[in-house]
Amino acid sequence: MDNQSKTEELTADYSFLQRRDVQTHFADLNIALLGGRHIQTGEGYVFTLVNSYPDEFRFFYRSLYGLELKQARAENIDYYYLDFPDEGKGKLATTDRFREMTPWEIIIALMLLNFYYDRYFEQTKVITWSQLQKEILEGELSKLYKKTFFNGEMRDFYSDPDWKALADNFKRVLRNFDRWGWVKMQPAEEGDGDLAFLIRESIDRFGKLYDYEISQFEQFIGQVNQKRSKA
Amino acid sequence: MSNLTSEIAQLYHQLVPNRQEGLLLFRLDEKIRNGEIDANFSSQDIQRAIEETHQFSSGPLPNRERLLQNLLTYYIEHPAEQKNRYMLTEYARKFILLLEYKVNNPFRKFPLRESFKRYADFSAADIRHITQLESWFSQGFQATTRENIFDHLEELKADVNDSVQRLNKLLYSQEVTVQQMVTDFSVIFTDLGAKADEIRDTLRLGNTLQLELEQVVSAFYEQTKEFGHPSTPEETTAFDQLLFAYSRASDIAREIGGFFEAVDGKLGQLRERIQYASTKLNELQDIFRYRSQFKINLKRLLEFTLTMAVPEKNELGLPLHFPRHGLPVERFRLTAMPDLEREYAGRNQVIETPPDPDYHRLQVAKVEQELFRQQRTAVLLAEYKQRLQEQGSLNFTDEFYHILDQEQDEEVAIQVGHGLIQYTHDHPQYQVDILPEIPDLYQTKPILTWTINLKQKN
Repeated sequence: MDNQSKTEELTADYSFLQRRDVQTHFADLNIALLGGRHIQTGEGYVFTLVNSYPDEFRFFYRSLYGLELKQARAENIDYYYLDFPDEGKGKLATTDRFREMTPWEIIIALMLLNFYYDRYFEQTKVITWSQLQKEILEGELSKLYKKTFFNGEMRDFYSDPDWKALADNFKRVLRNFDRWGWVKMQPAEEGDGDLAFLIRESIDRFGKLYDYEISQFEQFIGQVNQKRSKA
Repeated sequence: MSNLTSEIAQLYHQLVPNRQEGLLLFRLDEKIRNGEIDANFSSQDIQRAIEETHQFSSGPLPNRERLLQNLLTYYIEHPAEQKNRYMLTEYARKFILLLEYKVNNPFRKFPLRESFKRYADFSAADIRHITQLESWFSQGFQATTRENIFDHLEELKADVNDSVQRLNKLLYSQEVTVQQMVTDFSVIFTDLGAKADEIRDTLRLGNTLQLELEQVVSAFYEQTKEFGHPSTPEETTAFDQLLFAYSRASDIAREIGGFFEAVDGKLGQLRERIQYASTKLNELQDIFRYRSQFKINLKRLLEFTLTMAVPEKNELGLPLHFPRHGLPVERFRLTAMPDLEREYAGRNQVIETPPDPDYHRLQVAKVEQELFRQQRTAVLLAEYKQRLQEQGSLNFTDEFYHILDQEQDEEVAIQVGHGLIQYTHDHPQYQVDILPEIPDLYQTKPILTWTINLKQKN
């Protein structure tokens, strides 16, 4: 018997739900996971709970929700999250129970993942609104940022209302990311410009979602161009 | 606001040169040092220097007279008796040094360990008198060492930051081969490693210095102790001097202790950063090749996505063929989970108080007494009602004192009295007669009552 089926045999029951530690924190864990949260080391009792019964919870979510509880590791930090099985969307298949990432979310997540690697050797990966503004105005992709974020208006300076509208969009997306556990909002200090957040290791999950597009970039571009020419 | 601020605000443009003026000053100083022009230079020399520095600025060639006009306030002056020549002022020289120092700090090349050794070199055995310690402290330590070491640390910090940034950039280098990249990494890390070693050594030197200082302090302390009690005015003066020496030495030792704490803090930050960067490198080794490619592609994907994105008012659109991946997200709209409650909530423990047997006994006795009292009251009340019925009248005053004697409990007597009077008063056949007088017999009793007679109505 291989290891996989051994585990399944051992854990194919729900008796662990009767344990006291499970009962105390199950609701928090369940709601967090189903809400799309990535639970990483250092997140207190919720992480401890899922990390204590990984096999049991894996069975639980597979059999009751048709979802896969996955564990991943980024830079020595473990994190858990729910994912769709390869064959479909499980019991969260109705449209209000899963989320396709919006264009805003995709672009901001790509920016954050880039920031994350830009600061790979730095201990705290905190980004502030002032840094974001600098990146948009002076970064390598400045022209594209301006085109995308300011309705195609290319200027050296933008008015306060222009920036505020953009900041609102960022905040909206970052609040979602905070819920998913990819960033942690920080109290903004003077000079940060009203917005500061920490990029957490579990932003790695976004890299996993777009793994094919990133790792096989050439191939991906080839396919997109093919589709474009057909259309 | 201080007067100085407003004064500086007025003179600012003369005190701090603008870009063109500053570059001119540098060029002139450089040429003097290279021996290209005389220290007392001519207006042609100035013109040439302006032309030479113009390549670093944009716009038209600046006007010599305009530049000179401003610089002549603080930066350039005429040498004595040479009205058509110019020279740099002492202020200009300091300004040039300040910037040069920042850009090309000599400490960056001079190891921290060496400067520490040089400046903090100190032996307790050399100190005989407090003035020696004072002079070492105020002239040697305060004036130079302290500032030098802080400068040094600033430079070291800049160096570490620089190395970390070089590491970050190296991750994206596309053309460099893996081998080359590893070599580059190891060069940066050897640098960082050497810096960490230096920090360690420096701290050790600091410990030695503090130890020596402690010895000086305790030497002065011993001297005051050995002195004994001063009796003559001369002795008192000498003793006061010793006492002053001791307290001054302790102050100096304390100040230096504070200085080392500050140094330790700054070094600690650097150590942490170096440590973190090297941990990351260890993790990175295995997936080096893959990661580097991954990062480059990641940047390309961002670029591609931005190119494809179409702004539509406040929204963004991506073409349909752009892949949109999703996450399982069930919004629990009815289950409000405020952030605070997600944190670990401590349980409230029920605190059990142990029973207090003495108190318990006391309360039980009280209750029993009360029960007994009620019982007696009920029994007596029934008895007197019976008697009233049988005898037709009753002198209650006599009975009241009788009960009081018999029961030894005024509460019972009063309750019975109250109950009986109430009964008689409410009863249609009986009436209560109260005479407002107290019989002589009972004048000395602790409780006094009017004469009360209960009897049948006529």
